[in-house]
Amino acid sequence: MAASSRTGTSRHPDPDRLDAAWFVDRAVQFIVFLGGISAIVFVLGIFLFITKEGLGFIVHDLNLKEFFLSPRWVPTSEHHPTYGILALMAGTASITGLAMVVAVPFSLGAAVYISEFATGRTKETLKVLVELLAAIPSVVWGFIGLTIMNPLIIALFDVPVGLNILNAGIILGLMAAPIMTSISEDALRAVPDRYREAAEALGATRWQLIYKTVFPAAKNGLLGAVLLGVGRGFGETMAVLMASGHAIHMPTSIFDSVRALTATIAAELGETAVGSVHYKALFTIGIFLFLVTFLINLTADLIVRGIRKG
Amino acid sequence: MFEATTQNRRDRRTQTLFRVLFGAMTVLLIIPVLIILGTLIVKGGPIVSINFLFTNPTHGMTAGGIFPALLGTVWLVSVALLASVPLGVAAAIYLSEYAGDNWLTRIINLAIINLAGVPSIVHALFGVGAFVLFFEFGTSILAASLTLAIMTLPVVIVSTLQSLQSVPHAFREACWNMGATRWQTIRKVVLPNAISGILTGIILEVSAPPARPPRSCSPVRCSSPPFCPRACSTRPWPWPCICSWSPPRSRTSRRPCPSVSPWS
Repeated sequence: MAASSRTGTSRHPDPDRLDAAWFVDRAVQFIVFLGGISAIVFVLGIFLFITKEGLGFIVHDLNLKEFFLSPRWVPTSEHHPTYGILALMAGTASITGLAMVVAVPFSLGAAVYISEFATGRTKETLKVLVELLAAIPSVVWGFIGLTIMNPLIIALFDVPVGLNILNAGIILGLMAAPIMTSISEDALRAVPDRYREAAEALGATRWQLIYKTVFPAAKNGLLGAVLLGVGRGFGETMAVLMASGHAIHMPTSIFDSVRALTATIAAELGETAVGSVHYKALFTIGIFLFLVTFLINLTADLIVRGIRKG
Repeated sequence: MFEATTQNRRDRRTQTLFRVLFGAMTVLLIIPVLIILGTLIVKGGPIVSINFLFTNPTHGMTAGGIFPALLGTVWLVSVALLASVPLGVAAAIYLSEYAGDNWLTRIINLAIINLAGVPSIVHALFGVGAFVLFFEFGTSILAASLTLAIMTLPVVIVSTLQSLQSVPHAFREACWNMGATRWQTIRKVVLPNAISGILTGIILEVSAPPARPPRSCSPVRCSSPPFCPRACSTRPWPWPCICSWSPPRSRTSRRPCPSVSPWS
């Protein structure tokens, strides 16, 4: 390359000269920088585009009180369409809540067992099996809810419909558990072995060690894991759509069919005309979902980061 | 010699109790996988054949094979990977080799976490708003694949980043000492050492994503062309209209089929 050096001859190259390799390096640095900020661009882009589609509804048709406090979601009524998401929020909340009741103890228990009790081959096998649980696509979970859980619930509890909060909550709990297990396990593994050795030197049993030493040290990581599980449950669409019964209804017991926010978008978007009020209302639900998950993820990130700093 | 006191024995019992309890929880968590796999294999296994995979559905989707759906999936995933892998690898290289510990890096990390955490249905809305309508790709493989690409981007970044960071720092230092630029170091030393890990991560992500980022199929539902537009209006109730592009059912809407719809 005929890179002109500013001083001297090629025999004694100036370390500061700008040759081709330097320019290539700069160019690559710029390209990978673009790649790096693409994640930011996409998150902003997602927010921008769903806001653009939903903005008309927020500006012209949104009645905040009706939107958040009315349980009536009747977008297709000819005389008086109402857009209240209270019942949908109650559906999402009840399903996610039950899912967490199922998933939190089980995934924390599994994480503690895998990280603290199991050794060698058992440990590796269990980890692989948990990963396998995470690899099942959500539509398969929904299918399981529909074909296995539905008749099972009808038979066990003698209720007319098996597609209800119980079904969707258990399915969602099983879906969220592997993520929570593997993040909790990371958090437990991040506790330095010094702590365990110190506790054992004082004569603590394995359980005392876990309860008094490892848990307090991993507290924030475990909380972060639970929050990420909540975020996952909140945003799950397909399995909830198939297992929850999809009926707009304020739930009064766990055997009621409900409808989730995500499932509403999935089921109705295809039936609306682009630009109609209904269409924009669905995008407004999307904005709401985006903001809530953003908040959950931000909180989880801050909590997990908190342990690294402190 | 030490005598075991009552307290000691009680402690040991507690330990055994929790060991068994947590072990049982782990097993209970894993049993569903085995049940699901078993059910799928027992019920679906006998049907799978070369014929089933490579023929078109017949008799209104009640007989024949799944070839169009299979082909569609292959197309979607290939195009999505073409878009997400270069971008994701570039982002991972930036984060691993160039980025300092500053506010920009923190924001990028936060953006990656959020990209992975945003509900799949919101990704789908974005796909409809951006690719289908704004860029006017229509409902196409391109629109669906680009949406999928953005969904899989965080997985690609995170798994590539882990492979890059597993290359010892001493390798890089040795290379810099020879006078190599950063890019020469990356190309000649870091990438060759990390490539197997990167590829494994990407392949795993396609077939079976690692536990972290959520995966769902909804963007494909909303922004790819209908595969079975007729079939779904005849399904019994619990099937919540899997084809969301079907004409409005009379139960929910008495209006005529919208004339301007992204799915028409």
